[in-house]
Amino acid sequence: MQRLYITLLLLLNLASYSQKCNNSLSGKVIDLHDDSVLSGASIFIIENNSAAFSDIDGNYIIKNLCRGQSYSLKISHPACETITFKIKISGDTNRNFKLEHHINELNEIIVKGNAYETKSKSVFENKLSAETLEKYTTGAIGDALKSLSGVSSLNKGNGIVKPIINGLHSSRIIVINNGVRMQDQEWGKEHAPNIDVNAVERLILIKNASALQFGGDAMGGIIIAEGLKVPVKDSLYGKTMISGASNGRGGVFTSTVTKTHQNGLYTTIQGTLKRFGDVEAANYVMSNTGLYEKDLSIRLGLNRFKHGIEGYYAYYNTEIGILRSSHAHSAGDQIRSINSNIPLVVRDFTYDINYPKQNVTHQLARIKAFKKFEDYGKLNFQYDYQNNRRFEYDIRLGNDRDKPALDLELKTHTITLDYDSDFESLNFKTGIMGRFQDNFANPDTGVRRLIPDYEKYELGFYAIADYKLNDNWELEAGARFDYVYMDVYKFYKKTLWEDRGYDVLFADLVVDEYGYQVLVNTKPSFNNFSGTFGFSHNFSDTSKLFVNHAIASRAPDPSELFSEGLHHSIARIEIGDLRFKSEVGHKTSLTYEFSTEKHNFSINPFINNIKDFILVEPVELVETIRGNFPSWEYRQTDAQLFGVDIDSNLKINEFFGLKNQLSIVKGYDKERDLPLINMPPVNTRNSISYQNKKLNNLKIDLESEYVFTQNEYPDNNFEVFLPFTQTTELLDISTPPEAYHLINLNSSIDFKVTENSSLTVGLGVTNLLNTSYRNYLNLLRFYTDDMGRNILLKLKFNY
Amino acid sequence: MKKHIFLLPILILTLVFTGCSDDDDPTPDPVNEQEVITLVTLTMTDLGTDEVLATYSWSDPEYGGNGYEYEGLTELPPVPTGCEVNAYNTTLDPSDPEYLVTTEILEEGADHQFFFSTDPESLVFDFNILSMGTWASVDINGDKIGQKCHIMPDMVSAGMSGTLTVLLIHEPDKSAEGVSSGDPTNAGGETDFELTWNFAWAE
Repeated sequence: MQRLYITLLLLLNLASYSQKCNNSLSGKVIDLHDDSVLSGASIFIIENNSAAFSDIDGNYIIKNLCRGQSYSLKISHPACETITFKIKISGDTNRNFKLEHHINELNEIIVKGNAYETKSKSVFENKLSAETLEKYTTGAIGDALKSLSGVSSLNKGNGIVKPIINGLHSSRIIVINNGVRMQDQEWGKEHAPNIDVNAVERLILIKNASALQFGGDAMGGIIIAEGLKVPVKDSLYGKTMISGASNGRGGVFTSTVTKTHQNGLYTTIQGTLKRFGDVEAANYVMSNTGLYEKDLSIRLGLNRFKHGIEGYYAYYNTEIGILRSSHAHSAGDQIRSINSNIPLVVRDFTYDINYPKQNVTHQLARIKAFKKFEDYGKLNFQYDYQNNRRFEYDIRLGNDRDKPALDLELKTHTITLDYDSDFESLNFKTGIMGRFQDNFANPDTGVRRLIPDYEKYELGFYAIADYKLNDNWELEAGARFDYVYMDVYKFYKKTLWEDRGYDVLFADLVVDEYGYQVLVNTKPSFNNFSGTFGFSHNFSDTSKLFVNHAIASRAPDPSELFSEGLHHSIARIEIGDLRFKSEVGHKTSLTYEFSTEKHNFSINPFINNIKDFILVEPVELVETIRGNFPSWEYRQTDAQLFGVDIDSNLKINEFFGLKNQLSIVKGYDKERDLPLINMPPVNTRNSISYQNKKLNNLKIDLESEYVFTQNEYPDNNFEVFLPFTQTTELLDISTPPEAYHLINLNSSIDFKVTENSSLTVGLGVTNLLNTSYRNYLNLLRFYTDDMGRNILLKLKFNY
Repeated sequence: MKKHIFLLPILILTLVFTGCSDDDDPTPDPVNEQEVITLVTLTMTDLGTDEVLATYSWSDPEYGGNGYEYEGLTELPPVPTGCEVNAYNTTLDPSDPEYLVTTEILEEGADHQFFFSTDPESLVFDFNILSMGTWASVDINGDKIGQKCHIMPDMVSAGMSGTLTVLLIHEPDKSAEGVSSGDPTNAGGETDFELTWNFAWAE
């Protein structure tokens, strides 16, 4: 009776509360780095002083929580940094917490500036995990990046894939590879980043210049590629992937092995071999589009709590065939090539890579060390050396047949010293960077240098601070200054030197005269300021706003300053300008993110105003020995780019999910009120996915990719007179191709082989319907369709 | 170990900046352009006397040349005339084996073909490319090269004037339709040069 009474009382009691306190919070505590479970983590609830611990599988459960109430959680683990978290209970809630290892944190410093921390507090960052990257094992790093909204690519065939972020590319994008800023002649439209996609475990994309620690000239954005994290324990593990592709009839073999020790020593060796023959469009072979890539990287390090040191070496070599029929020796050739519906040269499939082709070797060596000072923060030091050797082979005659037409060696030394403090709510970073770069253009090619010999010196300082006002507001501000000095020796043709009036303006720069050429020693220097400020605000646990304004300043690159002469591969004359100043860009971006268990949505509008934007456009026809060529000159103007990226993920139920992506970007030359060239057309990707964890983690993903026609483009067409036929024909190099729609399929299934090893089998088809299409952003679109159907089979062993 | 880590920057800085001192001459060497054609000549010969009647040329203004130039007769007698085309790379020393580009073109004769056209078309009846004798210009397969030819005037040519265009194509498809009869439309390949001179027949 008494018992009943108490129960009744309790029930009454409960009823008198506006909330019910019978909800539970459960989930897993996971290691942020490798997603391994953490046992023995404590979850402490500040409001009611209760606590729970995660079990051997990382699971925890806290009962008797009240619906509608917010709780402050403090999650800690002996080996990890404690995190606090606010959560609102609206029913039984499942929530996983990710903790960051202290030990791994050391490691992070080694992988430039807190790798797993956000790079910028007021900018929404897009990320690609190892799992997503593995889908692109047979492709280039640019192919993987393209799967993020706001990123497209400027291609030359299939092998050369340059990322475009919000409409900008080449030297307007910074690529960071394992903490090292890539110096791989990124200014060239046909120079892709020299990184093996298989060596990357995680890719981070920041769509503006706010991450000032990496540089101040990222008008378009920053791409950060990071390697594998290593735990501090005695272990040996690895991954091997074998993939085959029907299109190009080739494959990729890639393998990574890591050995770690309890004392903090670790070694990782990774290698990739990639070989493809001619790629096929829907209806024909694209002759001479083979690819052969060889990559190797070695990482050796010592990881302790208070200090650490790491050495890293990466070798990347690729040989890429350039579509045979893309080579045009004259405007007439180009017109014939463009007017032909199929490439003028279609041969039988072969693995041979003939001329024209590129052969690029990039070597990167880096040493990095850090020391942690109790209460003061960390000091990081890094020295890196990069050697980029680029050969470009053209169709040539006689004894010169096998000689490269371009032979450049770019050597870069960089030293950085960074200090990183982490006080209670203030995070302050500052650093100094020194860089020396030497470019050598080999005169033995027998072709006038495209890029002159130069030495370049750079000195940079930066400071960034972010301040956590409270749980809902975080502010960020930073500034950077870079000084750039170049010492250049360049041969000019006297005709151009005089035509441009340089003989009057720069008479004192002439060092020597050789026949029809003058040797000029010019020493341009640039002072670049860049900065960022912004904030992030949590409206609730599920919605967040990021607002940022970033100022980027970029010194003109060597091609913009010094180009002078005929590019055979694109059949045009390009002329740079010695007098260019730095570009200054102001980009304001805003991201609203809404995220729940089931639904994930983000919208990111931006506007980018660039003063003294450098562009290249045709100005006149020049008569040469091969007939008339359009002459393209670089010019500075004020440009404006704006657009929006939208991402949405919806989990329908345990098995099915929907994903949607839309990117729009517009770009204009403000002075002439004209659209900018090569702006990505509007594109949208929609996919439906099925995943069944119980059925060997079966995953099936069907994707539709729709790319609209680019309706806004500058008219760079020319009427060219062809003497042989005595006719005038239109050289149409402007009109964008039609819109297209591609269907891609991707699937995978996991098998457990032994206790510690697993096998994943993946099957994918890109361009499932074998659609013939041309892509506005492919430099070969004038001559050939894009890639046809491609069936990919992938085997992955984890051990 | 801990302290030594930070001696490293100093060490490397020293190495880098001493290593980069200007101890060698930084002046780069000019490039010897081995491949360019900076001068093209057409030599017109009286087939009866083997006497050179005229030399038409084009030298590239980019390389300090004067463009189109005419030497000798400006109006040729309206009879079959020998025409020989030569290409030069005048950026090289005349003693350089690559100075006369024609040598290389002929060595790779199977990969080259010269094409001729006139405006108006009736200016010339035909350009005859021979396969035998001193005026022969065929490759090892017996296909036309056309570095030398006989210009045959038309019945109505006398007194006419117009232009003459010479086109050199590298790696043409010599078996493609029309190519053997002097039409480059289907030849493919790449243009090495395409030049147009004034041309006139005497009354």
